[in-house]
Order: sequence, then structure tokens, then C-alpha cells
Amino acid sequence: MHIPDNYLSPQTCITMFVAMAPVWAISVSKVKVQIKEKKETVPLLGIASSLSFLIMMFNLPVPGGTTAHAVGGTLLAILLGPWAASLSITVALLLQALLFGDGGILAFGANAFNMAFIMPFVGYFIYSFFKRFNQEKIGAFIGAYVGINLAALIVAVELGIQPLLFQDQGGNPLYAPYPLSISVPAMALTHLLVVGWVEAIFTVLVFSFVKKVSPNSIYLAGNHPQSNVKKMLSRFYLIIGGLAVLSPLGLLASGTAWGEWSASDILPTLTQNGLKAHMPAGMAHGLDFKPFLPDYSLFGVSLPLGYIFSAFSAVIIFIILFKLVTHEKSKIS
Amino acid sequence: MKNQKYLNMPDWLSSPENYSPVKQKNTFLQQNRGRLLNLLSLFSDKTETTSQPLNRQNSFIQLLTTITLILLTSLSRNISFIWIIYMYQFLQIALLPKLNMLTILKRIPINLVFVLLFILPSFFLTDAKTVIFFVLKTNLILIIVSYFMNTNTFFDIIIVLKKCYFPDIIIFIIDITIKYLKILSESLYAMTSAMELRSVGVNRHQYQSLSNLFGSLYLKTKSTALEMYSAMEARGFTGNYHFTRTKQRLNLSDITQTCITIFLITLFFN
Repeated sequence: MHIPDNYLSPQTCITMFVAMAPVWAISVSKVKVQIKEKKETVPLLGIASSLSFLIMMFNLPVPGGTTAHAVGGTLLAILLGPWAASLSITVALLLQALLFGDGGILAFGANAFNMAFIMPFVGYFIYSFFKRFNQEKIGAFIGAYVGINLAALIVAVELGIQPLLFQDQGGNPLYAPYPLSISVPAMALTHLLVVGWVEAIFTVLVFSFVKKVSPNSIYLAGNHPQSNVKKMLSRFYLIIGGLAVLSPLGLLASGTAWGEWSASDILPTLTQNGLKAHMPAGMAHGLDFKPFLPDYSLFGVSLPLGYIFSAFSAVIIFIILFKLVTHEKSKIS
Repeated sequence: MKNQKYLNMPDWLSSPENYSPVKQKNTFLQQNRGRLLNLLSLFSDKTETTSQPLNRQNSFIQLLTTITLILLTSLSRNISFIWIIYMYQFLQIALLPKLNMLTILKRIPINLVFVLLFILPSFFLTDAKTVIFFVLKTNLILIIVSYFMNTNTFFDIIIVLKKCYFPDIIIFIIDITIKYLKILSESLYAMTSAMELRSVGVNRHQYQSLSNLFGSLYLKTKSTALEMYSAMEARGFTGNYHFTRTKQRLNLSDITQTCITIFLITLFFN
């Protein structure tokens, strides 16, 4: 599930990075609250990151003689709480990218989004739903299974949109070459049939072991202010808002977006796809609207320069977010 | 009379036994122990490799150039440009001590196999040129990353992260992670060795033993964290961590590297 570099376009990587920034910022502030209550959370997070690293490194046997590894996203979310788990997995992924070459450096944001955000939060949400009915083990099992499959689906979508968005003049893909029609079934099949079960069985067994041997060492959301649904929702809106603000980054893709052809674009598109070149009657006499920024060429800034500008803007936003978090921290202390 | 009873061996001990344990095909424990050993060896090698004066480069500049090179490689559609970066990267590798050079070169065939496995089926979708271009670019990026990995220690990375305005709490967590990664992998290694030594024949409940392994490891994680916290509190820890920056001076090789990177950027846009 670790996406290496050059499988995703830099534009996608930057978008994923900035999409993940609010999650990291909120995780840090959430965990700070946890640290204020329980100071031992600080060393625990570090050691949990190493545990997460080891889980991702450890190969588990799969029927048929091959091996697969678990990610442990849902397991850590159940044991430590979702925010702490998100932070721990992020740190583990960062070390894997920078020190061990597992997963790309540019693709770090995308990998973190899939494994440190989707997986622990979806898994934990399902687990806490079943926990209400005192079915914790079933919750852990389904949470882990759904969590990893949803993360795999998102990986497949990230890879699958590459040939659609990024092509050279000849229409050949520049990055991962498989379209959604191949990437989604390939990822879904391996995860629905094999990896999902490995993750789910591993999660439920380790969870049951810890529950049996030391039931007090499992994270209890009930004692914690973060279980407040309203607060969680407002954070969720913040993340979605962040994504919305960043969505124009997608416009950096070369070529016209599918289904957004202008009257002059449609004829070559039709012939390119082997269809009869005929202008639809509705389009021929429709409005020909002159926008303020025609084709997004921002006041004559060239496309490559545009990439660099947005990359820098993303980095500046990132620095400001982190600085705000640290500022808040110094106010608390 | 009583002693006589104990001196006689029981019958089952004297009867011949033809038991030979069935060998298990799936030796995932051995496999994982190999991986753990590799991980542990990384902790010992690093100090030797960076002691060479040639590698004493500023880590921050190195990370920036690494990211810039990856970005340029990823965006480039020009084969000559990719070739130039290949030459530059291999020149850097050639200047490394033999040990580091070998580690980087050894990774190349393994990486190539993985990239080829991924890309080869796409021959049916695109032309050969696209496939070759993808393999060349992906391989180059992996070489750039392994060069960075081989010339920087764990501590260098932490300093770089501080310069990138990472919050102190995150840096502290990363610091603990790196230290405890060694400790936890040592104990995982010890536990898997013990499991292997104590087991004979086929293990029908592999997942059960795995859950015990990782369950114990998690509990160990918890207790170690508590112990570490007590130790930290005893030394005056209040919940805040301030990482003091150590200044790294720029040397000739840093300036050369920066100039080459700037040259490559200008080349990319022309």
C-alpha cells in the first residue's frame, strides 16, 4: 500500500500533502490535550510509532504460501485513540520514506492520507459503533476489514486517475499507466480477498489478547472530551473546508477536464475517440462565455511556473499551520 | 524397596520411537527474523558511513536538493535531461566510500524488478517508449532517495525536520521512535527466536501465536512508555520539550551541490 515516487504526479502529491495538513494540525492539538491530562502520552506516542513501524514490517503468513503485511491502522486507533494513532502512523511512515525508502518522499502525503487518516478513522468509527452494542470484537474485525479496503480503494483511485489527468501529447500516460477500470478491480480484489482478512484477523486477535491480559490498557473515549460528537463534526467540516479550498489545484492537470469541452474542443475530442465528428446542435448555438481567466492561464503565468508557484504556496500554508499550532502550544504552557 | 521403584525406567522410555517432526513450509518466522536483523544492522552501520569528510554535507541542503531532483525527474519529459540527472547522481555515488556505494548499487536490481513487475502488463495499453521512460524515471528517483538515505544519519534527519518548523512535540516523538525502534525490534527478535526454538513441527495456530507476540509487544510498549515517563519526570520533565538547534556550517561541497541544483532547474525550464 506504500505508493512509491513517480507513480503519482507531483501535482497529486502536493494536493494530498495539503489535504493531510489539517489532519496533522488537528491531531497535534488533540494529542496535546491528551498529554495535558496524561503526561506519559508523550513517550507512549513515540514507542507506538516504533510498534506501528514493526507491524508494517512484519510479514504474516497467507494461505497459499505467500505473505502479506498488516498496517495495524485500526488496531492502533482502538488501542491508543484515533488521533494518537494517526500521529504515530504518520511518524512511522515518515521514517520509512526518509530512512528506509519504503514509500515515496513526494508521495508521503498520499501515503499518510491513506494509512494514517482513512484507515484509523474509518476503523475506529466502525469499532465505536459496535462498541455501543457491546460487540467490540465484531467491531474491531469489521472496522479493520472495512478500513483497509476503503484505504485500498482510495489508493486505487489515486493511481487510476493518473492516466486520465496526466498524458503527453501522444495521449500516453506520464505516471501510473493503469486507468480506474484496472486499478480499482486489482486493488479491490487483493484487499477484499486476502489483505483485508489478514488485517482483520490480526487486529481482532491482538485486540482480544490485550483485552484479556490487560483490559485497562485500551483507550477509553468515554472519559475523554474528544468523544464530543459536535466537536468531532466541526473538525470534520474544517478538513472538508480545507479540501475545498485546495481543489483548484486539480486544475493544474494538462488537457481539458472530461465533460468540460468547449465548442472548439469537442470536434477533435470526438475524432480522437473514433466517433463521428459532428457538433451537437445544442452546443453549436449555446452560450460562448468569455471568462475572466481564460483556460486558467493566470495573467500569462506559464504552466510549469504555475506548478512551482502552487507548490510554494502549499509549503507556505503548511509552515503557517505548523507555526499556529506551536504558537497555541506556547500559550498553553 | 522404595528406591528400586524409581531406579526402573518406565516402559515408554525404553521403547523405540520413530517420530520425526513434519517440516513447515511457510517459515514466516525465519523470514521476519531476517528482516529484523537487516533493520538492526542499519542502526550500527550509519555512524561509519558518515564519518568520511566527503559526506559531511549540510543535511538541510541535501534534503532540499533531493526533493528538487525528485520533482524535476518526475516532471521532466526530456530523455536528455533524465540522462544528465543520472550522470550527476552516479558521479555523486562514485565519490562515496566503497561500502556506501555497494549498498546503493545493490538496491538497484531489486528496485528494477519491482518496477518492471508493476509496469510490464501496461505494454498492452501504451507503447514501449512510455514504459521504458517510466522505468528509467522511477529507478532514478529510487537511486536519488537511496543516496540521501546512505549519507544521512537519524540525527541529521531530526535536525532537518526542526529547520522545516516541525513542532517540537513531533520531533520529540520521532526521536523516541528511532531510539525505541531499536529496542522494540531487539525484543521482537528475541521473542521470535524463542518461539522458534520452543516449537517443533507444524504450528496449526500461527495467527494465535502472532497475536500473542504482538499483544505482548504492545503491553511492553505501554510499560516501557510508563517507565520512560517516570525516568523523564524524575529528571524534571514538565510536558514540554525544547529541541535546541545545532548549527551546521556550509562547506564547499554544499555550495557546489546548490549550484548544480540551480543549474539543473534552469536547464529544466529551457
